[in-house]
Amino acid sequence: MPAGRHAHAVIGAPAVGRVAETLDMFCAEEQLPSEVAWRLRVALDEIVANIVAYAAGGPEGDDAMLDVWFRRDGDEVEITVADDGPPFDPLSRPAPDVTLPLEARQPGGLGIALVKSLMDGVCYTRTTRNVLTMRKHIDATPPGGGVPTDADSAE
Amino acid sequence: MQIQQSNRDGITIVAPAGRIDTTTSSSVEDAVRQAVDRGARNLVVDLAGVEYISSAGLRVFLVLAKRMRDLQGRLVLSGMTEPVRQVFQLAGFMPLFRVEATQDAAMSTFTRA
Repeated sequence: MPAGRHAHAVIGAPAVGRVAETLDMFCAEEQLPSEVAWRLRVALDEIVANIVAYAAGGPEGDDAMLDVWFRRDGDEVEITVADDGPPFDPLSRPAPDVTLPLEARQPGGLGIALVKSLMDGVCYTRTTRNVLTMRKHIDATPPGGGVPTDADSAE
Repeated sequence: MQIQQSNRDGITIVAPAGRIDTTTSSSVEDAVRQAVDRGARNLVVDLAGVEYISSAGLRVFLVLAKRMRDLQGRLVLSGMTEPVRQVFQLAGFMPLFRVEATQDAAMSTFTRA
């Protein structure tokens, strides 16, 4: 059973960087392909920033904590994020319409839509805390390391 | 995060390097806002040195695109790395921006106009 990594932080702006640093260590230890690593970084940035934004002014006040567990199981990475913020299911937010013209675009909701696209599975449960689990499959074939295409041999 | 700024033939080039995420997006936002405040209306943001971008960064580009349009300025993005391109694509941002492969190609769109 791999040890994995764990980050524990007070919910607040510094938590975002703290969690990102722990993810960097985990990615290095597990020698994750860069394609997987950047997806995890973007997804986790969204999730933790969201928690910080929504927990502000919550009943837990300054004692609200968040925990992130990083685990690799064979060719899959699982990241579990638990926080003491007010009950909030980020996955329940409607997906933004990404076909609207510039003037009608709003930045809200983009982050969660991105997380869903970047990961292979995301689920939310509410226990005494918010618990969000993300899974990403590690592809054995690195980007660009596949079978040569016709374009490669074209003159 | 490092952000290089330069001026060539009346075109302002802003080139951030590193990760554009929740922690760093405000420096990118400040850099482009200040460039536009100082009068930049022909603007290239070269993303060749950007490892990846999260939605906090996308937000900066959405705000910038709207502002440039209101000012009747021109904004061209260049040098997107694969992670940046994928996130722009997933967010449906590609149609909102003029995107060129390299900084030189971005510069030449201004002379062609």
